[in-house]
Amino acid sequence: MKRANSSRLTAHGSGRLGAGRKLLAVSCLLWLCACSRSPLPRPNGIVSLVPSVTEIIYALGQESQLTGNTTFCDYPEAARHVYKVGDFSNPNVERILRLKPRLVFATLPEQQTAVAWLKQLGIKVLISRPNSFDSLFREIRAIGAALGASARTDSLVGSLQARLAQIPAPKQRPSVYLEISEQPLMTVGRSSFINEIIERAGGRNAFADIDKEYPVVSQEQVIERNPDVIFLLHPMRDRTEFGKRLGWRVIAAVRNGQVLDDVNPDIVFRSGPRVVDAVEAIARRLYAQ
Amino acid sequence: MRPAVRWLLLVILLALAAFLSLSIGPTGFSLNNASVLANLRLPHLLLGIAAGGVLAFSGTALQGLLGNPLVDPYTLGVANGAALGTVIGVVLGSPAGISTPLLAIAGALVTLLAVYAIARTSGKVTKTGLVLSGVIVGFFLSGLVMLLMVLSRKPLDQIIYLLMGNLDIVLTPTRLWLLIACGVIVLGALVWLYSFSRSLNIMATNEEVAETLGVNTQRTTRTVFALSSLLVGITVAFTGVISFVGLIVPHLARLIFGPDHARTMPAAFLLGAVLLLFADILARLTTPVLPLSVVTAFLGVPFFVYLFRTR
Repeated sequence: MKRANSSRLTAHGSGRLGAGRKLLAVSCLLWLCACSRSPLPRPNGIVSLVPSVTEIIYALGQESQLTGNTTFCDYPEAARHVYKVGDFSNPNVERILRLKPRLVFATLPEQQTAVAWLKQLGIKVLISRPNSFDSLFREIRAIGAALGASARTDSLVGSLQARLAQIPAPKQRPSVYLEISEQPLMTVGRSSFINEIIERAGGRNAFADIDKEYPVVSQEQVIERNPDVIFLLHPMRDRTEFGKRLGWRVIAAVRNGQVLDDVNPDIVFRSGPRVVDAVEAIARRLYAQ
Repeated sequence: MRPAVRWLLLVILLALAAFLSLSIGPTGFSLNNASVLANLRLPHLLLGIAAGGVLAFSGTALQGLLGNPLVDPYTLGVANGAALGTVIGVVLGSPAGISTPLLAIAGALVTLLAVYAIARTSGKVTKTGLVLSGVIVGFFLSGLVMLLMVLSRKPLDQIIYLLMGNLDIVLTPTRLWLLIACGVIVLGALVWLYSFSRSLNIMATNEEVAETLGVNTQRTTRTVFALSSLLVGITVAFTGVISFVGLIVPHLARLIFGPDHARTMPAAFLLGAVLLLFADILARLTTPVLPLSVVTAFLGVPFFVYLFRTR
């Protein structure tokens, strides 16, 4: 409140400026006020710039240590109300500094610039970039250790592993095309975490031969690989609209009505505890056929 | 080489490119899958010819009109308007699937009007005014595009691919009809634009002389600008911003066919189509697929250097 008052004074004081400039100055100050309105949490906490790490922190029950996260951190619901230091691709280093955190979780390569700055300013940064279940479990343990919650970590990792182990191995693996963008067509390649999610669920990624995370592919490549099941994981996902695509009707999945649009993309894309939900969700649909 | 032979060679090249484009796919050389041929490769081929041709054609008209060899169809800002429309469609999501190209066309039209309104001073439009206005509006719009890219939660390479050129459009019946409707408009605009080839020839020598020779320079400037902008806006709406074709192919056409717009404009259309088709064939043979602008540059620059050095 105090801050808002003082800035209003400054805006009134600039009487000699032209009307346009005055408007500009006022709008800038209003912006600043809007940005700094939320009360500052106490120092020495944890800042998470990665939605999946935020989910892990909540799953470990350590949210009391979390003093800042990004606007992308929207799960669980409570994570929405934590102090926001920016969005996922543009975390604001100054806002992080104001929190005086003892540790920041970030990911690469998206947050390269912020990470470089934070390190230079002497703030401890842990990089999260799991690309397999093994590295996810290692990461959960590392986060647990950093937060001093080893006991909770063991039980979380144990239960996730137990759930994975319960997913039955299929007799034959259906080939899966997972579409993450329609324009241009994009899917997941071998080096993506999602490739392992498909495999653990009992499927076979139709584009596992491409050594990229999210390759752009052509319509003909999809038709040629003739997937048995198709998962649509983008905002434009709509099975009926998909069925109208010209030239796609020759694909086995389309012929047999195995085009699925009801898996929540967040659980697949975020390499947090919910990827096990993703494996279970995909496995259920693969066995239903 | 006689002009007739050059034309013949160009047509043969286009036929060859079209044949290869129809028969080469990820599985290699095949013409036996009727569904793939009719539903994917034929629309792909026609879109490639249209996009390459239109970009080179309007590039030639604009370079002639503005008397500036560095002008390309994107200089006058409309492409940025179309790109903004595309990005808005992608970032906000368009469930019906039809609205992204429509948004892009709307973006292009609004940009066209804005560029024209800014360039117009006391009822007249000058060449310099158009270029400056186009460049400025273009910068502003590309700023908006970048802002949206940064603010959106989409993976950046998705938008980059979309903007850097792609002929592999997923077609549904609605989109096909939209494409056909736009094709008709494009055809009309091409013919209309071609009718200015003589005026462009005269204006290229001297604008004042052109006035005394009975060319309405204001009307020509206005119409050529509006038509090429419309053409480019529609193209970008479907294929993204394919670079290089609209800038260099006009020079190629002039190197081969001389300065007469009545000949260079259709020649540029054919050359643009050939270049884009070959680029597209190479792009689709790679896994993962390359953006078209990468291949058009790699393919076109050596050819241009060769022609430039040998003539």
